[in-house]
Amino acid sequence: MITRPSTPQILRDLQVEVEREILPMMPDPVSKMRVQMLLAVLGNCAVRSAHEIAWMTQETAEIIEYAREVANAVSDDARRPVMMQLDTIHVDDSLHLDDVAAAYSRAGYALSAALDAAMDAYLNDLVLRGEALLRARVTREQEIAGGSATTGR
Amino acid sequence: MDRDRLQAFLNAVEPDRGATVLECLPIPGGYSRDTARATVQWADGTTESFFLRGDPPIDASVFRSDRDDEWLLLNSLVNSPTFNIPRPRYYDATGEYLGCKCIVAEAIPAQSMFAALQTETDLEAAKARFVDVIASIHAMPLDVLDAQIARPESWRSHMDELIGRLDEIQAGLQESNPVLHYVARVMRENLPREVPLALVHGDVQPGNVLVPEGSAPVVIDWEFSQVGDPRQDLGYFPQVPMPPLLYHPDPEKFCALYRERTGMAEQDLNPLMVDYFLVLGTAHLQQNMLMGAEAVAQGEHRGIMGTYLIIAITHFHNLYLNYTEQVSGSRKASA
Repeated sequence: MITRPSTPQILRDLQVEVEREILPMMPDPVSKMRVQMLLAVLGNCAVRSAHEIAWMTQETAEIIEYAREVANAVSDDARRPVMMQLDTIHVDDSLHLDDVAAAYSRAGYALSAALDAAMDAYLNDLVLRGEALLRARVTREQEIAGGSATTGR
Repeated sequence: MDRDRLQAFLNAVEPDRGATVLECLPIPGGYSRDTARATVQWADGTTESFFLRGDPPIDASVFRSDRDDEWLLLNSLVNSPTFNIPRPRYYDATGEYLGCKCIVAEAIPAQSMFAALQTETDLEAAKARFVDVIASIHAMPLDVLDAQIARPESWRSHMDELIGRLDEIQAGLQESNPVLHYVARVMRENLPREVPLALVHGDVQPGNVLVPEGSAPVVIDWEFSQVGDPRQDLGYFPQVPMPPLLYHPDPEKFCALYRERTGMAEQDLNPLMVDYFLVLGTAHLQQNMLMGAEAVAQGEHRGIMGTYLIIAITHFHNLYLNYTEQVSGSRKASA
């Protein structure tokens, strides 16, 4: 497999090509705007492709640890939905994107269940930790978006 | 929505007026509907300009709204005693002529308030004028609306429906969304006091207000309008990122102006309340965007918007968490 240029480098190179060579040739403002949007998407894909497997794997592990702590801190009844979600997460050695994303999605359900349980039980510290996990997730999302906000008419 | 199609449409709806379409050009930049501006000359020598607003193809769009509903609404709003809209003139309800369901309204020869703001030197005065427009929408008596236009049974049922939309979004996704799950819970736990239902624009921003010289502003783009809590509009507007910003950097001033115009109490409208309604005022957008992304994940095409608006989804996640973090501030203080 050719690793140089990497996927993010290829995507960034495509961005440059479209921006320099194709965009200026487009007289129609509607098409021009579409291409500008496409460039933004390519930029986001470049960031994602460099890190997404590592980011999802790390976040999944953090959520599992958090949900277990919540499960240990609440009553038997409150523990059940958290454990049920935790049991659906199958983390194995596969680094294929679909497998990592599936585990990450299931971890998201576990995070919701755990945060609900922590809130129901007024476990303030654990609620704050759950909120911090959500904040970390959104900060990553923003990193991918590169700080850009969409604009329109 | 091109010149030939409009010509055929006008021949059908105005057979005795001898229309000649001089031009019909697409307008770039909208996220939702396809739009065009047309100039028409009639047989008596007069000319008119029209604004066409139609549905883009399903596989090239993300936002969904109903043109039949919008046409019905516009024909009510044209009678509003509190604000002006462009007069709706024709509707191709089947797309037989224009290629899509399409509303044709009179074009107003005016720049938008957004365009005017780019050279405005007195932003405080501009802010007051914009708040006046919002207040004029909310002041419209609801009995102006056609009886067929949906109204919530009560404020509470409306709020339940709005917050329920956050659950609906999650149910429609093939992956978890713990951010929305948490936000929905916080919204339910912090339900505000009831205020009277009003007409909500749904996309209120200076770009949707035209400012003709010497006459009152004209409000356009009603596709997401509904009867609801007027604070939905107050929450929607601050997330519009285009400068110059009128809500920030002094949210309290903006709220005070609105309270002054409407008599709403401070505990019902303040910056924290605006942030609460930011979530509810934008949930319909979030729903459309997430469903668009989900469609792409299922192998469907939604045009460039399907993937481009993922940026906006993450932007909204951030804004929603900003609100919940304010609410949980007291939790942090006691930890």
